[in-house]
Amino acid sequence: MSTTLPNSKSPRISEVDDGVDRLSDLPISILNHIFSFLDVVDVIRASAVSRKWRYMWVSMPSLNFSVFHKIWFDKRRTWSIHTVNNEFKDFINWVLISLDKSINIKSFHLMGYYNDTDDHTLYRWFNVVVRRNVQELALLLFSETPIELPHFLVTCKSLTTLILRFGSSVVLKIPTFAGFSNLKSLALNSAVLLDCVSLRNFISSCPVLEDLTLRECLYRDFKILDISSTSLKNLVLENGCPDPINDGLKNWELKLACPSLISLYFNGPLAKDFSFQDLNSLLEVFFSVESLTEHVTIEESHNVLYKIFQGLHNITDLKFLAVFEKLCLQFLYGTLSHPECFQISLCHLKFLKLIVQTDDWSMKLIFSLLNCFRNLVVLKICFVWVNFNSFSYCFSFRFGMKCSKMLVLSKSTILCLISLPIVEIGVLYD
Amino acid sequence: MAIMYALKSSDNEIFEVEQKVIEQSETIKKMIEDGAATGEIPLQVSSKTLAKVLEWCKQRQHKTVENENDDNKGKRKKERDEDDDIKEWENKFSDELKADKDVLFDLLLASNYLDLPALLSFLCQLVADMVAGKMPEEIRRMFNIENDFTPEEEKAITAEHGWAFQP
Repeated sequence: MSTTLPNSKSPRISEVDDGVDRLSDLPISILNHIFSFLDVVDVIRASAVSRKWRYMWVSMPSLNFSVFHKIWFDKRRTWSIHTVNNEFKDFINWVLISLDKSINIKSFHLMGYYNDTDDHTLYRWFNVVVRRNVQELALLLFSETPIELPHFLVTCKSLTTLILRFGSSVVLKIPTFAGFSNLKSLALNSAVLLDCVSLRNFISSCPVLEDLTLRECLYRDFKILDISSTSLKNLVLENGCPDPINDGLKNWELKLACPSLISLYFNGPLAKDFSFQDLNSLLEVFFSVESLTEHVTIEESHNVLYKIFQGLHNITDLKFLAVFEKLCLQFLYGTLSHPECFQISLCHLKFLKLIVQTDDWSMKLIFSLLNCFRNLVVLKICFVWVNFNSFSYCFSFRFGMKCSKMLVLSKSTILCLISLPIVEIGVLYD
Repeated sequence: MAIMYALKSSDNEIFEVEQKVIEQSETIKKMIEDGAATGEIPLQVSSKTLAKVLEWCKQRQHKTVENENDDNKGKRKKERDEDDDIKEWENKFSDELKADKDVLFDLLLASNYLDLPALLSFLCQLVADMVAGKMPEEIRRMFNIENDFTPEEEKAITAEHGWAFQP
């Protein structure tokens, strides 16, 4: 470190115009907020900007480490992945010991760390950040061995957000003891979950959990994915990527009992069975049904879809992504031809967004739905894989709408659409 | 009829704004709740900046409230997915700020003072994007920061973090 006296400083940059340096004069809270969006590498690089910036990084409360930062990425050209991982590890260790110990760590984001067998570094980092009252932990890890959350992390009282993503499926051992007393948000991505009972118990034991996301998780030997929580407000269940070894909930039952749930997002193969209890707070639903199993009969599919709609009371907002195989849409259409199931459950519906293809079945679906939901205020139809040539021309011709990717229709247009007999649309296609 | 409030900028310009729009500001909301806001609400923000702040708040307002007469106690959440219009609006908003950094910094300070967390985060992200991946010299030039290091000090920094300065 330099020992130069202040009076010997000699600013050499003269190309600075008469503009004022307003960035450096911002309150430290705003500067830390800006740094919270930067990788630690960029913040340390910025320490060479001026004396004022020199040691600002040692007291930053948000730490983002990513092996995908250009600086590591470039090294991959000359070094092995293993060497880069070790350098990355050294860097994180160095930053953690250099930081001002009196400052709490608000968030710790670690992207792309390879957790080698018998390497305890990850747990040491957890320990450091837990002792510094970490609130938000977001990790993207690669590992060949199961990951177990250490006791001191699960019982950490400051933690409010935990995001755990795995590069490829990794077994995550669910704690068998209650914890996460202040955790509001939990997201798991590509985790292999082994035991439905411990998962259910664990989720129920988080007293203030509001957001739960399970993405591309593999539910091994589950009979039932049972989510019961009195505090849960937002739930995302997604198995959107077709994967031969992971068919999501296809063979299991999904059971939800969440009296405070406001929004539900479901994307992936339909579960074998649905059981919904106490979903009376539900306001928003996004349901994307990708495909039904080949072995399921039309009647069985009908039952499943009927259960879904019946369970969804009170909904004011439904975004139904209907990108089906043709066969599946036929199944759904079968359900739709029994409008009584909508009359009970979805008469509150005000907002409907449909994401559909432009084939005959999708068109019939739209008009069946419009006949069911008479309290709609907003209808949005988004077409995917559109062949605009034949199709939307007819639409715009009939309703005077512009040919665009997203058609937003007003109430009067809906009334006009509803009053149209389906037959008439059918004619447009012949 | 929507409740209106009058905001007075530091240069004495009056802005008539709907309560719902300005209540996004925790600072103003608190002033209203404390009853300190009968008549005009004086703010330490210039009219030019305040106009920009309100532009943002109105846009957010459209984003969060879609149906006025709903009976679900304002619980209606903002539409989560991509809304192209909002994206486009935000891009235009950011481009203007990048072109005039004085407005950007005025807005940063105003959003901090008015306690508008969404705007503050948006602006911090904007500045972070401008800094990310840049070398110190580029950052200095972009924000008129004076290099007050001696050559010796600079050498020391390079020795300490040399790896970080490889382009």
